Amino acid sequence: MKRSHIFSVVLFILVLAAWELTVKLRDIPELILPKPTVIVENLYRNIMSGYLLDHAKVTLIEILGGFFIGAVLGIGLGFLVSRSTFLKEVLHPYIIASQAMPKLALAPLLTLWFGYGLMPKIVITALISFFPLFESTVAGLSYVDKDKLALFRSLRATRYQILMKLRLPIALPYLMSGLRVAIVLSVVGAAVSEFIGANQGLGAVITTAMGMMDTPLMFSAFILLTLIGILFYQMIAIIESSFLKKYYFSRRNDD
Amino acid sequence: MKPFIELQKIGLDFGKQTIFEDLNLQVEANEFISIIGKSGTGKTTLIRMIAGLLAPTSGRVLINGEAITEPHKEITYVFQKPVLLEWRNLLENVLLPIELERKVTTKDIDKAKEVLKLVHLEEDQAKYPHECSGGMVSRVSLARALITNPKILLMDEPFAALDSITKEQLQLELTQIISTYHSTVIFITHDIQEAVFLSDRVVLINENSNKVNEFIVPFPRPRHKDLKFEPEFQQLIKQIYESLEMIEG
Ligand SMILES: Nc1ncnc2c1ncn2[C@@H]1O[C@H](COP(=O)(O)OP(=O)(O)O)[C@@H](O)[C@H]1O
Ligand SMILES: [Mg+2]
Repeated sequence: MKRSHIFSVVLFILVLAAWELTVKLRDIPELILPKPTVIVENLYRNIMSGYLLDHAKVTLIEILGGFFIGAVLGIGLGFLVSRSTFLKEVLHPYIIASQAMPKLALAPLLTLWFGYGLMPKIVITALISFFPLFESTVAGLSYVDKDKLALFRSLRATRYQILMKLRLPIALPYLMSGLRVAIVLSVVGAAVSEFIGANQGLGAVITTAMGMMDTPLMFSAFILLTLIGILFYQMIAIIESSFLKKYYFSRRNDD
Repeated sequence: MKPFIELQKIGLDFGKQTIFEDLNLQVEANEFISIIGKSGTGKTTLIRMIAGLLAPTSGRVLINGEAITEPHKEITYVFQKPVLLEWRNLLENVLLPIELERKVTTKDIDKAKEVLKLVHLEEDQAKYPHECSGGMVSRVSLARALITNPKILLMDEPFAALDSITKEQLQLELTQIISTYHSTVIFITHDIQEAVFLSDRVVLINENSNKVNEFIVPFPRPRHKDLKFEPEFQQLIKQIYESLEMIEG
């Protein structure tokens, strides 16, 4: 383990200890801020009883379903749009507008349309993960390296070969960073859309716990959501570092 | 006999700027010609037209009597700045021309290793471009040019960025290779000694990109590196140097 890692862990323990002590010494009510030990106990109990896991399962389905649909549409449409300068220009104002649009604010409307089931949550999550992927695909595939393009042309490469063997490898790092942003946003999207009209999922657990003034449970659900986010983010990072490393190489300029 | 490569009355404008007005040049099969001119005279532009990457405003480029409109199968172009794909190791970079043409076979891989050996990179085939020195990168781009057994090799100041020792080595390697492959070469350089050492004919072009003078290099190829110290060799260099000074005023 690196020295910096050890310090990270030490810092984490210090913060928790300070938290625990402050709550104890100042006698802060559990409703406002529970002690870390209380939260851990709550988390353990609710995981063991299966309560949190059942809800986590629902949220996971929303995250993965939404992320998958958003990714397929975002990358697919990004692919198509990047092929045509005309299309890019036509769609440009809409892309800007939709970036500025707070997608989460659509949740009530979508609930109205699709009811209280999984559907509106998956739609929101898909919408939220669509944009970063769409953007990074368009940006990555539109990037032209003139010299490399001339090389491919001089070797009589077809348009398809140029796409697959030149543009795609160059776009891969962009795509992966789009995926990383999208997966994190998917977790946010699923949780927040559950705040509005849901009786299942970790977001719903948070609102229910709020109603019952069960602050430790709110923390437990929050921690699980965070862990899910970290897990997915790390999965993408691992895919990158174990299979795609070479696409991050760039020629150093000093000789 | 008709020339292998022929430039007929080439004219080229970039917007208002006229680069070529009426350029004519003929190259025989198996000939090695060098083109010398100051930077900015249009040497790269000229070679891009022969490579089929740029259409002349007027006139034609003929290969074997046929006018070219797109990159020609028999031509391999070695760029002024070596272009490698950073996400491919050296072997994979060398295989690129084959891969774009057809499915790569084990025979092709053997061939790729062979050309890497020709440029003394057999130990480095698994390295990636970011792990290579400038000289190595130039060698790879040469190896990639050779894997297709090019009939015509266009080389744009391929050694200009290298130190003189590496440059000398690569010149010798190139003379060896060319005599094995019987390629026709158009070589751009601003180094007179290099031009004379490598080529059968040296062509000078001036500011206005007109071919102004031609020198036949009478020494048989492949040449030994000691040739560089012969008085006749030195004499020819001096002659070209003076001619170049005159056209540049
Ligand atoms: N694509 C281009 N568009 C406009 N001008 C160009 C282009 N390529 C080259 N030029 C101009 O043409 C002239 C010749 O350039 P180039 O052929 O690169 O010269 P050289 O290789 O002899 O140094 C220069 O003045 C350059 O600015
Ligand atoms: Mg040039």
